[in-house]
Amino acid sequence: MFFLKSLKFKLLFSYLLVILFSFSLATFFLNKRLEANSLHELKNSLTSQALLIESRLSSVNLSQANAAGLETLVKELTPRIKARITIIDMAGNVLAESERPFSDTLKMENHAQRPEVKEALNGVTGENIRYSSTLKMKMLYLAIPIKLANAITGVVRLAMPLDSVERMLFGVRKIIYLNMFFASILVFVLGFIFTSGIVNPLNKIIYLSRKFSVGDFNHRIYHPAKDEIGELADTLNKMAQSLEEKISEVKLKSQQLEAVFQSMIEGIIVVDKQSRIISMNPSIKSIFDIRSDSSFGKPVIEIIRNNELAEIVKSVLNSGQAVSRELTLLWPVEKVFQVNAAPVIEKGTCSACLLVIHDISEIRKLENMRRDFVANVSHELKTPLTSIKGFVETLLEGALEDKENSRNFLKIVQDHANRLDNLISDLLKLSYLESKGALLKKQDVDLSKLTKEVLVGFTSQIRNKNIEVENSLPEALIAQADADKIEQVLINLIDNAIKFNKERGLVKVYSQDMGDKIKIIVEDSGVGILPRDISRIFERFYRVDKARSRSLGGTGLGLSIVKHIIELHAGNTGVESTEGLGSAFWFTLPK
Amino acid sequence: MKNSKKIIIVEDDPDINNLIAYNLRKASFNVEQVFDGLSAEQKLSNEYFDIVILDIMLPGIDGFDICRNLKENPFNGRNFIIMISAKSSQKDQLYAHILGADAYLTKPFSVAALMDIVKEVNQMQSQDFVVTHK
Repeated sequence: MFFLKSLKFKLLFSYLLVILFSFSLATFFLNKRLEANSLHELKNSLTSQALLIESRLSSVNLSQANAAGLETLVKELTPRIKARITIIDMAGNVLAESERPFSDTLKMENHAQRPEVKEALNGVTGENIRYSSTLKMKMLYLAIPIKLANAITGVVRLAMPLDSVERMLFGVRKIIYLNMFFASILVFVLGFIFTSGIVNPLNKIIYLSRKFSVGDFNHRIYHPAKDEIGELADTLNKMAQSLEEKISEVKLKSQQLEAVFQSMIEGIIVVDKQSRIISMNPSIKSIFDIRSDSSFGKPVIEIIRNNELAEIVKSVLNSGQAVSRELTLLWPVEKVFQVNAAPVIEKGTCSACLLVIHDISEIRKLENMRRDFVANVSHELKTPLTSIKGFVETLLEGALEDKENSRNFLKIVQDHANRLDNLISDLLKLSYLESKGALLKKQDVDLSKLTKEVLVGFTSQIRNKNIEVENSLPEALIAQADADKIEQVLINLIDNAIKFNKERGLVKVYSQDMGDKIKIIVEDSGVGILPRDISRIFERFYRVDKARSRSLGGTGLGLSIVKHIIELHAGNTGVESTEGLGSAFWFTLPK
Repeated sequence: MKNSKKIIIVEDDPDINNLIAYNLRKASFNVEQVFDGLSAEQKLSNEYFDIVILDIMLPGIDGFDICRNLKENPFNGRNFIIMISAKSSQKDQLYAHILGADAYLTKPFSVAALMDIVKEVNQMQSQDFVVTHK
């Protein structure tokens, strides 16, 4: 059925139709005109022949009596006249007949009622075409009156078979039909070739356009002819080219965006109008510890169970206005986030909401630490100052006379002045280390030698507390470090190990080879540290036992300084401790 | 003359605590010393003190909490509360006031100033505190 609807069929069919129609029209009119012309010729020739015969007969006696004479005349004329001659008298009786023997002539029926004879008897030329029962064929009859001095004396009738006309017409028709047949074949063949020339490239164009429509731009339409189809092919090729370029451009852009999306530290979620998750980046998964990929299509509240976040999404989707808010989450993670929610406007309406979630817990933590540090510093400075000021005031107000206490008061003032001194010097050290301006003067440092020197400095404290010191560092233990700073580390650690040790306690200094690093451990047999304090022990001003630390002259900054120095050396610090048995502080240094 | 007012010093720094105690005792006050928040709470819920000298940064329970508890559940009458703290911000002072502290001295404070307040309070009846210091 498709073939009947195809362009090829339509074109071929219309060509054939044109051929058939024009040939039929030609045949029809040619036939008519030829027939009319032949008849006219025939009539003219018969008329002139009839007039010739009439002129011979005008003076002859036309009666049955003279039939024999007329018969002779007719027989005489017949070879010259190529028609059947009949001579009829006024009564309609046949007097002579060229095609019949004389004996039959007079027995023939009366011809007065024959149309052509009837007219001739009335004085005009009569003619008629009819089937002759005598000759058994279609005949043209022509009759003219025979006149003698304007009086009709009889009729001469000529008859001629029409088969010659019919034959001629048949011949003509045969030629026309034959021509039509060949023309049709020619039209069919040429039409087929021509329509193929149109339809085949069109089919190719359709085939390739289908490929274009599904994004396959690997092919181009080849049609070099400079016709309309060629132009169409060119246009389609150009369109495919520009589409391909546009698509690759868009693809590149979306790849770039995707890369940004994937690698951003901020968590990104896109939700649709129903608050369902359309997409999210890896950061958001790690922030909220989302493991499955099945979160897509689920409402955001199911994945991040936080009402405030859900409300932000709702308000953005409803109002189309961007929202920026700080959010403190306790579940699923305890963190502070800066949430920026922006609407995605599509055709004037808000179709989605983009959430950018920035984890600012660390920033907040640092801010809090800084604030705490400032508060701590001020507290740590003000406390000794209060004592100094208070005792000096008290002494001046009369306590100087109080011999029992005045000396003790001055001692307290001295202690606190020293404490302030220590504190300020530790603060300066810390500030210097933190300023990053602290350039390390790295060199080969013999840790064994350095430790021995440090221990010498603690001789009196060791003796006072009857501490046993066990330095088992191997000779020439070389590390890449800043000697002055590592000396500070050793001083702080050994100082702690002695201060927080018990009477007759043990301080052990030893090392471990960690491959590319050296681990130095300073172990004491002191009070130890509770697990809850271990994680905070390196914080500034963090003291397990405030009163004890202060009474021992600690500033609360010693371990913090240790940690900073070791971090500058790209090493690590740590502590292992069992409460009541002692602690082991360690640090690592590159070899 | 023997001063009848009972004073408690809640201060974790022993030197400052002793300093205040020394000066108050010299002025013949009845002085009690505690060095941490928990002991202060216990003491204050069992005994009445006319004046409470209270540090804020204390181990255990902090000075703000002690102040609040004391104002909400006073033991046998209102106490006059003097806060002494290294916290010097307006915010902290306002907070202490809202909680019901009657005076606020920032460290390093002057012993004379503290003694002036104590002596002034000593002249008054307990119920007058509100009138004078509000």
